Amino acid sequence: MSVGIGNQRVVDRFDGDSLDERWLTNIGSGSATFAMIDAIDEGFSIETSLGNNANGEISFGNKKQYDGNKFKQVSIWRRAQGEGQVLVGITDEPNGILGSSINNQFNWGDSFPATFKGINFNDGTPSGSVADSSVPIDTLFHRYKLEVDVTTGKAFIDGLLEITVTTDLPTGSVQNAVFVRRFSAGGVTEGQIRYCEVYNF
Amino acid sequence: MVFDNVLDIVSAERGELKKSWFVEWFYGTQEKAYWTQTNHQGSATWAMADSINGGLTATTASAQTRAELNFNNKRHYNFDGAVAIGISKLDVDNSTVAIGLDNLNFTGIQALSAEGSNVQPFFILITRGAGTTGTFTSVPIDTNFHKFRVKIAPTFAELRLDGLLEATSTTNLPTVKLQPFLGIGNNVGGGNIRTTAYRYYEAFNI
Repeated sequence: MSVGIGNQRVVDRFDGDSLDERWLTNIGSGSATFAMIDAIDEGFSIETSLGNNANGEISFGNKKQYDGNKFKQVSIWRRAQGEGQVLVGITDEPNGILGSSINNQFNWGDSFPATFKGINFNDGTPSGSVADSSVPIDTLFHRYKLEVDVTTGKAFIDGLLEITVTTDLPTGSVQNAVFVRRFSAGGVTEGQIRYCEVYNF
Repeated sequence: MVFDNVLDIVSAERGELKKSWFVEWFYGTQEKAYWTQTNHQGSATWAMADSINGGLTATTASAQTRAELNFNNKRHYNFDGAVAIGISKLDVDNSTVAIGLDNLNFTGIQALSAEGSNVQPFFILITRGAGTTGTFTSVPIDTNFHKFRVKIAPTFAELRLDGLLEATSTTNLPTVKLQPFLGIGNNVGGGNIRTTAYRYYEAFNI
């Protein structure tokens, strides 16, 4: 058994009394709360406030050590509540805000009221692309994987390949990010994450 | 077989939805900030050792002391299906070292732990639920590092010491969610400080 450990890699299990200090929290709008959860297998919580577009995110403080077209990310998370979205992936946006139409990014998302989970991806030009999986949105934990090289982006869920794209792929250096946003309706939106691993290959 | 990520290595199968799983190696200048230091009686100082394989040390004051590191009641672990593994060692006399899972910061009764105490002849499995049960192993206490592995299941708890099953308990099993903890005791005080050491900790739900 072996694993390619030569390149940059981070593993976070979201345990302990608080978020590991390597992460930086950011609030793009509203007054999000960030907390380690006191519950079995629920990891770390990002919860938005009320208000249109209220959002909170965690990232590596714009320390971009990952290669936008040669990285993989494995994560376990869920949209726990709310009529908003949770996005987990990579970006060159300084604060870890995912889903923009202008940044290099590639991320999995669970967005209410979409029918299916999907990916957002962009090569940094003012456009942005989306692609749906066949997996309905829900509030359960799933295991997500992203795999991007210079020609192909792949997105897996619970071990199964769901999406393959070949255009609008990110380039350049990027950072790890978890992003939670409330839209205009419902109560607060909460995302919970209990594992995240990112590495260059 | 080649794996390309850590999660695949520790998963039973590709795509497994891994439950909470924590690993700590105790290196660097100080323990990570996600640990909370709790003093129940007296106080202890936690410091990274400057010695080969030294890990993290806990040093008591010269009075009787009971202290622990924990997650400040962020309890991600099952009372009926979890494992905790630690490598730690005792001081020469009148000290206690403990590794396991607990609730309510040690004084709150509910716990599963492996302990060594100089007031007992052998290393011991402790289960704390409605009451407390101590089950001796056959391994005499000493001041060497040992690998402790405690497991809690719906109907029993067990302690494996250095790879061997040494103690099993079916009474006073915890009934509430649990958090990792490392404990130290100065059993007598009397002007003597005590130091215990910890160089690995791991916990996961099953």
